[in-house]
Amino acid sequence: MNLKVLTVPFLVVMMLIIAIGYIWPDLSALPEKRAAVSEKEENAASVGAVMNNIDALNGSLDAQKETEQLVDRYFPENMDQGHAIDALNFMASQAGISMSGLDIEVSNSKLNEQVSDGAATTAQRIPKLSKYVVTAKVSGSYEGIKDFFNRVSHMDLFHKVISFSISVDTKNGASAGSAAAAAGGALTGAFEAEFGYMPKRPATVIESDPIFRSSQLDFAVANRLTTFITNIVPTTDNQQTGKPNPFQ
Amino acid sequence: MVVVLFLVTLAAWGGTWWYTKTYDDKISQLESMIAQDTTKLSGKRADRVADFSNRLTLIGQNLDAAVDTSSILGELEQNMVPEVRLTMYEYNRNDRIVSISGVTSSFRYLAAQVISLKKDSSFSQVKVGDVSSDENGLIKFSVTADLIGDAVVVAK
Repeated sequence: MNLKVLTVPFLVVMMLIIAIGYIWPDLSALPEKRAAVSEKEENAASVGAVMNNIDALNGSLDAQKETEQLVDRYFPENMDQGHAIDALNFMASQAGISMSGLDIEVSNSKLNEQVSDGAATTAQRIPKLSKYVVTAKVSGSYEGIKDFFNRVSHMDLFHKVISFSISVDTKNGASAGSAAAAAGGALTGAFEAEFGYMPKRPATVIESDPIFRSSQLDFAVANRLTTFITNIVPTTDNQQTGKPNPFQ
Repeated sequence: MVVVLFLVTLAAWGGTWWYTKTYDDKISQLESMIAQDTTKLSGKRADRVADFSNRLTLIGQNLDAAVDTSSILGELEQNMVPEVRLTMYEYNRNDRIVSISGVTSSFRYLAAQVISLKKDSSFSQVKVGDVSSDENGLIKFSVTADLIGDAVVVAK
């Protein structure tokens, strides 16, 4: 009799304990778990879409092999001082002037700290590029120096013009005010530019990178580059090397 | 009656436990699937696309700020007073300044030259520096001009 009397309150207490301690917390957590599942499903779908986009993007690069090569040549992964020297010399001769000096200074600072587009995400995503500063000194006529500056500005190497100057060449016997000096071509020109290069690095944060959200690449900049470059420097053939006495 | 209610409570507890476990399993299954797919994402094919795109972005920024030396010198040619002869011209993008030195035969031409430069919308301030005349009566002068904001002539 006593047991029967105790069973009812015991069961009621147990029901309350189960309902409050177990069922209610599980029920409360359900919307959260539902949201987590749909979020994960979205992530999985987006990773799948990124995988498909990578295939599509590689396909468009395969179709535009020449553009890819142009970009790699214009903006190399290594410091290509040889190409810069060759280009400047080639353009000086094309402009009919002579190069009288060349100074190359390798800098540790990074060029795109100054050419940030203001978008923090883009600035963070894109690796910093390295630079070296080239100063070329030339002498010749005004037209020749002007032509040289123009050719260098549109050369097929990633660079940023820092300064350029033209002055009457007083060293060659011409007085500063001599009209004959300027007319006769006794002018000196100086051109200073930063050349950039960027080593290849593995892609990071691929799943959140906006590049991989699209299945198509935008080649508009590459097309602009093609029209911007008006001076292509022919690649220097490998010079024949080898001599018995290097000091002779 | 109480026993039935108790059994219903137990069934509800079992139901919610099963439901929660199903969700937990689904979450961990999706997580491992995402982790697996993410590993597959990295590789040469992704690196190639990212590298090309990064280079294009930087090239685009650089082209936007490209200096057209021909236009700058063309502008200088247009601003020149015929009686003034330059001995030095310097365009410095970092300092955003253009420095000019020259000679002329009269102060009138120097004034005309300064006025001509001041009329150019590319410059915010045109300042005359040293002015002196030599034994032949030639007037030597120097002028500096500050470039306005984006007065860098951009090649589009």
